Amino acid sequence: MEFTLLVIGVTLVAAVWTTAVGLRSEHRRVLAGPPRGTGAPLGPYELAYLAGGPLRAVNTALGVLARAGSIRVARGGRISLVTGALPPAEPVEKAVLDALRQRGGSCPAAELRRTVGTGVAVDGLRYRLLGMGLLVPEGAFAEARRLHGRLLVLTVIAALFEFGSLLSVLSWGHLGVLSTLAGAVASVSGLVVYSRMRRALRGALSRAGHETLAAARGVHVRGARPATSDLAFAVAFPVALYGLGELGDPLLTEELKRNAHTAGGGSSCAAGACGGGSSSSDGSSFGGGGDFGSGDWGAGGDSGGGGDSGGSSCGGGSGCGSGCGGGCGGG
Amino acid sequence: MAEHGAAGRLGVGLGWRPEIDLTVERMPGVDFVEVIAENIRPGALPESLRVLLARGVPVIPHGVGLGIGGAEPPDPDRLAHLDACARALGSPLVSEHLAFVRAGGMEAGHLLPVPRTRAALSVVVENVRRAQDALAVPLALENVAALFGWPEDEMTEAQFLGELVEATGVGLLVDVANLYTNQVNLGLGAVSALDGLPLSALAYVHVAGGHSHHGLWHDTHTSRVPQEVLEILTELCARTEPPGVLLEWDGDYPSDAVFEEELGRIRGAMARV
Amino acid sequence: MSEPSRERARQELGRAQAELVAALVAGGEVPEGFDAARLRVQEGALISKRRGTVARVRPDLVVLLGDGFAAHFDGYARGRPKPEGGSRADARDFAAWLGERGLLPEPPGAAAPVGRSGGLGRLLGRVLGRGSG
Repeated sequence: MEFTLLVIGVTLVAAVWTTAVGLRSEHRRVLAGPPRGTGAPLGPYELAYLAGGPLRAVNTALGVLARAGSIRVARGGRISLVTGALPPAEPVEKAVLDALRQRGGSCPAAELRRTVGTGVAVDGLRYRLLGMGLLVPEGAFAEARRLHGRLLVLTVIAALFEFGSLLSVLSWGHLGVLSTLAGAVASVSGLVVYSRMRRALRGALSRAGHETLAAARGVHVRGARPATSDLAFAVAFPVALYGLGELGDPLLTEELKRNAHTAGGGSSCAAGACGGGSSSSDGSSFGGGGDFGSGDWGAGGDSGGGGDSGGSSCGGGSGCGSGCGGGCGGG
Repeated sequence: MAEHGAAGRLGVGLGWRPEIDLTVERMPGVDFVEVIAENIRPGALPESLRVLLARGVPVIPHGVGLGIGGAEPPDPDRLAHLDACARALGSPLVSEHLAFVRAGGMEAGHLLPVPRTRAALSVVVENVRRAQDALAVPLALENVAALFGWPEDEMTEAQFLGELVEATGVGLLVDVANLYTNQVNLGLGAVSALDGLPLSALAYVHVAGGHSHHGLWHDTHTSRVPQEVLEILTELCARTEPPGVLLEWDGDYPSDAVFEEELGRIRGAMARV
Repeated sequence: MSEPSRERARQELGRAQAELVAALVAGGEVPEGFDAARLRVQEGALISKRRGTVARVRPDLVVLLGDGFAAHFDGYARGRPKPEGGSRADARDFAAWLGERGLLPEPPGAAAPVGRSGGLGRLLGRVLGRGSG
């Protein structure tokens, strides 16, 4: 009996370890996928996507456009078009302006994050990064996930076995200590690897992606505040790599972020469903790797902005003929 | 006129709107602001206005929905709201329009001109007195822009306002863009209107841009101030020193730089006297 | 002016103003002596102003109707005074008017405000889909 238990225990240890090693090497294999076509250095929007996903990319555009005077940020995080602004060259910036135009010129920042973050301009970034092998393609972790599931099953079995042999030791005084020990080793090591890989499997960056991001952060150091009027260096790279806190205009940062964290105003965002990706268990594919800029992912609440009272009223004026739009709403 | 003197010196201002709140807060040279009274709740002022007040910037509630030129006496609730706004904002005065905005149970959705007859004047005088009784601060009334006149008009707008000021002591908010609008649309000379207005009662001045459409001027408050309007402002400044001049902008908001330029042009027009 | 004569003045002013407002917002006849062409221009200006505020309340309708927004709104608003309840009520009535004419793909309640639940749903679906894929 004791011997049988010991054999089962040792077998469990072997099964857990084999699966864990297989899982790790499969994970490494996927991450190490060959980098392709990384000739040109990445622009701020590609880096933003690597550093914080679609929302970081949109936040970078919001930051650049606001600092350039192409959009206006109001208290509460409502964004509006600035009349007479020059058309931008970057697709994500253009997508922000198009989305605003479609909404009559203004809308909450949260709505822009959702719309542009799921739009073609940001999709384009993702495809480009996938093409360069900097992002892990969807489905690449399928085998690793299968091993991950198997590891969980084995870990649970090992835990039950350990519990069972522990009971037998206590009640009958058998010398089943060795098998209990084997069960403990199998379940604990299984649990450790399982939870570590759970985080790792959420990471969307390949090893080359991590290296590219780290290299960019070496060039554009956090808080360096380059003394240049070139918005790419003064705003785009810092926000892309480190988030809205690096916008260089604390009041704008506060208003843009406030919108990301306050709920209300008819928001359809369920608690936690679209806020802070790092806290969601399996929601985001950008959880792992420690290079994940939280906050930027929280496209959560929608403060609602001006609403009816936001519509300005035309003071003394005659209204506008059918030919000219006019913003008068008074009377 | 002691009442409007309470406004003191306002300087050059910009109409505060929620869309441009940070712009207004951060723009140099904004000496005072105006807020559309119907768009705020006195008990829950927008943070931006609180920031401006804390900085000592005067905020004037500007009503657009009272319709003091209507046949009905002014609505006590609307008057109470204007009064509460002025108290909450610590405003030196409240402004509204010499206009009517509803009749026969229908909202016009706009500031329409009052027929300028003796009979209508008697009604408006009583309306203004009721409003003054309900307000803790002085009231100033603005001349409106019109696309049409009443066939029974007996007086010019300047004469009508003159009589109204005489009878009630109400302050005057002269919108030079509205004078320009009436000059273009109705052929009423803006400079001669200035000569007729009781400028001794002047509380402050409005300036705004608009659009020309099929030969008519639309006072949309959505573009730069035309030079002609600034020339009327210069003419006004040649006749009296206005306590304040405020730029109104109500949509299609331009860059901060354009706002600053426009305020600079207004200062220039005032100094050209 | 004496009290009774001011009352008469109020009544007369009220009647004249009501006729004018009816001509401007409810398709009423142009009162005698007014410049009919100018009142038509004013009527158009008032509709344009209403259209602007409705567009701000319901940007989803602007997106939905595209270039047709202005023409449809003018069709709705001409001769129909702004309802009690301000711009929101106006927007609601306009949406109902569109619905009656089969110009809305889904009931206005479900459509408002478009781009929130829809966009979020898409985003969530995408994120979850990627997470489990």
